[in-house]
Amino acid sequence: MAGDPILFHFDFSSPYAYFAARHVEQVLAKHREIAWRPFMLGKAFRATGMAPLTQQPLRGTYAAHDWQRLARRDGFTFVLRDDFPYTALVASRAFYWLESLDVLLAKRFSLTVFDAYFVRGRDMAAAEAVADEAAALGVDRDALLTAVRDERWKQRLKDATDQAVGKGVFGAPTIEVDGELFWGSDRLTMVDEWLTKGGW
Amino acid sequence: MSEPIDFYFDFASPYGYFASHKIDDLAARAGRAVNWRPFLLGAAFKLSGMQPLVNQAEIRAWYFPHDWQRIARRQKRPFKLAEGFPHAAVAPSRLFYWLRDKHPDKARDFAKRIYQAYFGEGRDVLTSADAAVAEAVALGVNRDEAVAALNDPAIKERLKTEVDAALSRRVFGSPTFIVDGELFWGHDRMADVEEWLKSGGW
Repeated sequence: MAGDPILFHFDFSSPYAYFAARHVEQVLAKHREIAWRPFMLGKAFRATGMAPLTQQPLRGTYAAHDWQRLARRDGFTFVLRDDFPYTALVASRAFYWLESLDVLLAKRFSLTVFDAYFVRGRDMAAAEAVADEAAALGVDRDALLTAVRDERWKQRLKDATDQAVGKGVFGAPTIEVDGELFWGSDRLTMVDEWLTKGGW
Repeated sequence: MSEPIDFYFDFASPYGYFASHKIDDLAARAGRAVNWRPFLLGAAFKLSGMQPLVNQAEIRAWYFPHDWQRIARRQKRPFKLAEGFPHAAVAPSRLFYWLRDKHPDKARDFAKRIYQAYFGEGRDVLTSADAAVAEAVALGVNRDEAVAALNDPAIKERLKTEVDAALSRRVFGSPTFIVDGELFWGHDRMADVEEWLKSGGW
């Protein structure tokens, strides 16, 4: 497949990013490799001065309704925990460690973490919970717990966040194709068309 | 009988402009009518705390003009932001509702003309009463009648009622579609609107 990988920028705490993650490979992998890139959305929000969606009047209520509706179409029940949105530092660091070992495993891990939080309603902030979910995929718990305390993976996540924000990424999910940014889980079809046509 | 689709939009909304090119065909495919309902985003912003997209933090604000140009190219439509964008669309919104009551066959064409002038040509027909009236006159409406309508307290009240009604239905953005009581926000969600109509919802 010619061309640089598609970059899928997401935050584990973002519902719209979850909906995109459920479909991104099916819709776009036929064009190019997709490099998943978790980043810390909170940093971008602070730069915009915006509160998390659910804390905004009117828009927050709509978003909660929209997530339920999107989930119903996908055949599951969406769960919004009281601690939403959480800071997914551990899962994000763990992703980059796993990616260095096995890209496919890192993607499966990502979907598992999303599923744990938004479908099974599990508290995913703690390292133990992330290690549990990874263990179900055959990942060594202790190795993960060591990796997420390793400066190397802390820095990798910081770099990924800085790179995303530096390119103009301000929200999750954002799909990047040859430097062209598409924000929103509802843009998968447009990105598919962009890749098919070679842009316009 | 099937309910019409309620299409809420602000004349100063680029995503509303793009949606306006597609909504009638979408409705026709679904066998529904469309109620075009201009409203004032400024009133919604007071409730939601939002600001116009181009006035938001730079990390976000850069994206939207880029996205608008990209969608315009895809739609093969002209797109130009008027100097001083965004403007408050009170005059054309009042005229629209007056036309809907008095010359219903002209209301939608008037809306399309306003959008074409404001975003197709980048001309401020929103804050200039004369410019807004001219778009109605171009459709054969009597100029004096239109000017009188704009100054009529009843017409001012009419728009206020429509805006309040939109807000009470929890419309907070442009475009917004309400289909059989279900609210969808965003030009990006028009495919979902069509699917909802086709399938009866989920």
